[in-house]
Amino acid sequence: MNVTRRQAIGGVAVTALTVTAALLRTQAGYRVPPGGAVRAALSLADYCIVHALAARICGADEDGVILPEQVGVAAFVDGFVAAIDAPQRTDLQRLLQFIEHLAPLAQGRRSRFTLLSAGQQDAVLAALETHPVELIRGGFQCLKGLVFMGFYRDPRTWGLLHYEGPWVGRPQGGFAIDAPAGMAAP
Amino acid sequence: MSAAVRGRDLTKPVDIKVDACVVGLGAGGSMMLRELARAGLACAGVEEGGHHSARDFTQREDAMLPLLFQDAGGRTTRDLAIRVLQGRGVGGSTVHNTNLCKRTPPEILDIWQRKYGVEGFSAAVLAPVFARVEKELSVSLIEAGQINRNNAVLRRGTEALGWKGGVLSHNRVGCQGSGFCELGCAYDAKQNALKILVPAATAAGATVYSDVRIKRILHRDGRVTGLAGVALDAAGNETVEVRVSCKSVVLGASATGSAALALASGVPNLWDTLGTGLRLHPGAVVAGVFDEPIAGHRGIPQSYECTEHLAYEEGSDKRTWIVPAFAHPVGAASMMPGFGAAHMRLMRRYDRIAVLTAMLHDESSGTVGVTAAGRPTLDYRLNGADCMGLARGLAACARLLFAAGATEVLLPAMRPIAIKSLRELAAVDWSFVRPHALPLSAVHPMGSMRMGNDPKTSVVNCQGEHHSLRGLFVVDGSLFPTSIGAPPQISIYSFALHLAPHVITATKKV
Repeated sequence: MNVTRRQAIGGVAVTALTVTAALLRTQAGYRVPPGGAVRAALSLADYCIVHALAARICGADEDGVILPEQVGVAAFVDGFVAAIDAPQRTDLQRLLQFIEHLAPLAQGRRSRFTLLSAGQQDAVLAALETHPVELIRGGFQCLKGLVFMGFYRDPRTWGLLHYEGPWVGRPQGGFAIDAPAGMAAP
Repeated sequence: MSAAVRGRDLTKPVDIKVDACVVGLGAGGSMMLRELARAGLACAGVEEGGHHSARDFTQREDAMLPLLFQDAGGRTTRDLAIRVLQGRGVGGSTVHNTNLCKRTPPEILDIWQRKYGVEGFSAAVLAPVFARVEKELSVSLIEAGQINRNNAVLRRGTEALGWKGGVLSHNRVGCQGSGFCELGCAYDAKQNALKILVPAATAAGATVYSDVRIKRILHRDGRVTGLAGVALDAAGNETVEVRVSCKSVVLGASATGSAALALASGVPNLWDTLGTGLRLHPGAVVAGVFDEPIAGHRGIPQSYECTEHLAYEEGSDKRTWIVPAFAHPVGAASMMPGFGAAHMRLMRRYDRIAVLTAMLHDESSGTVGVTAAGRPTLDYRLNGADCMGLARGLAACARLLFAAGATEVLLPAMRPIAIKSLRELAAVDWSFVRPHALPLSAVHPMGSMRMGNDPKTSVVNCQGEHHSLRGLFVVDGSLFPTSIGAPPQISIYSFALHLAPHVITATKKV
């Protein structure tokens, strides 16, 4: 195919504009959430996506429940990602970008995930949970597990579950397996 | 040189010259290392993970998962459908397992002999080996007073339905009943490889190297010559080289790690059998909601089994082993379906939920591969018959929970299915029991370097030695030609003990 110089310059300009728009779309407008100023592995954008995901995945069932941002879920995920192998880290970052930019499109939303309302975000996540592409379903399961680890590792969440936490440091001598929850601790 | 060397402390390259080197110090590797040392051979054991003790086990999931599990507990099949929990560190999976002690079922040993060309592993031959291992590890029946409420639910359901079941045996002494077994025992009650075998091996002259990743098995002219590896710092970064010269290499790095290392090393694989035949013994959970507190996280996690739906013959409809499966909050949250407020409502019932798992005696066959970085990859897909078998097992779990008094039963579909009666159970569409449609996890990988007499269908012979690479032995779950439908630790300990004389003789001959 013959391409004139003018067509070539035009093509380059359109490509540059598209790339710039994509970059703006992926990087612009992210505000540093609490605890996100110093990060070990995640970019600011990825950190914000995790922050938004955690808010919905660990969403409270009633008022007064401790929030994932109070527990520092995004900071935990950041630290976890810093410690895993590079290929796993790359996979996770790709998944985050997919959730941010492509998953909302599949729901007919033109905004990225972090800019959607809570209800719209829940709809995106529900679609991911039953997504026709198995790898995406599986990836979401893994991500969900990681977010839950960041949330339920915190002792402040254990009251919800009537869970006493570790016994290390408490007097030995056997623990009552039949005592009602919360009453067996020495 | 000290009997225990931590790779994180090494600052200069290390050259190790021994008769035999064991790679991976779980049940099989630790047993073999002790036997080699007791036979008077110069020997070393190398382990990728750390060398921990009871005081390191903090009972915190976020700290123990990275410490004791491969990939921080995040290892999965390549399609992300099944989470595969495997041990890391001296003692391997025996550090975090739930100490269940079952011999290899005689029916399985019979199938191996008849169909897979396995000789010298009959129930009669192995009986004294099993007995010796059980004695050394203080195996005993779990006492009635140690059965917690979650297990009591299973027993009540099993007895109400008139199904087969029974109390399990374990290898704990001085159990405090804290319920944190899967995060390492802070009270050192587990009579496992870390506590019993590794100290015995070092006392007999073996040296244990922790934090050392072996990257290649070195071989020349059909014979093993050594190993090439690298030390890891506390953060897991590779530091200095570790080289081993030896006459024999014994792989005890699990059904995934051993095969991946062999593949990365270019071990002869004429018939493409290496890495094939992987079984995962995968399971899924069913939860029952009760009016009274269950608190399944306290006490011994698994002390009762239901075997009504488990038969060992190939092609059987009955292929699930049912045991309780309780977890601490992080584990429980990841097993529960859904997210957000609905998930939190489920989690609020944490102390009133009993959980059972149906573990599949799988006939689906997967493969172990290896990445350019030397890490294992697992390709595994449940076949239709296994999906149906698992569905039957999950339905059985639901029946058991109702029979024990559950007011509601939650089936593990991605969108949770809550049922309140047997009538509703009968109407369930079980087509959700397939990969990626329910959370699946596996803790017992097996196969991948099968033993047998025929090099066309197996990787090692019945002495555990590679068919064509002299001096390369396998002593972990890789050896199994099929799933054994049971927790494998006693089998692996025992097979290593059984094979040790062959390894010793072969090494001494060189």
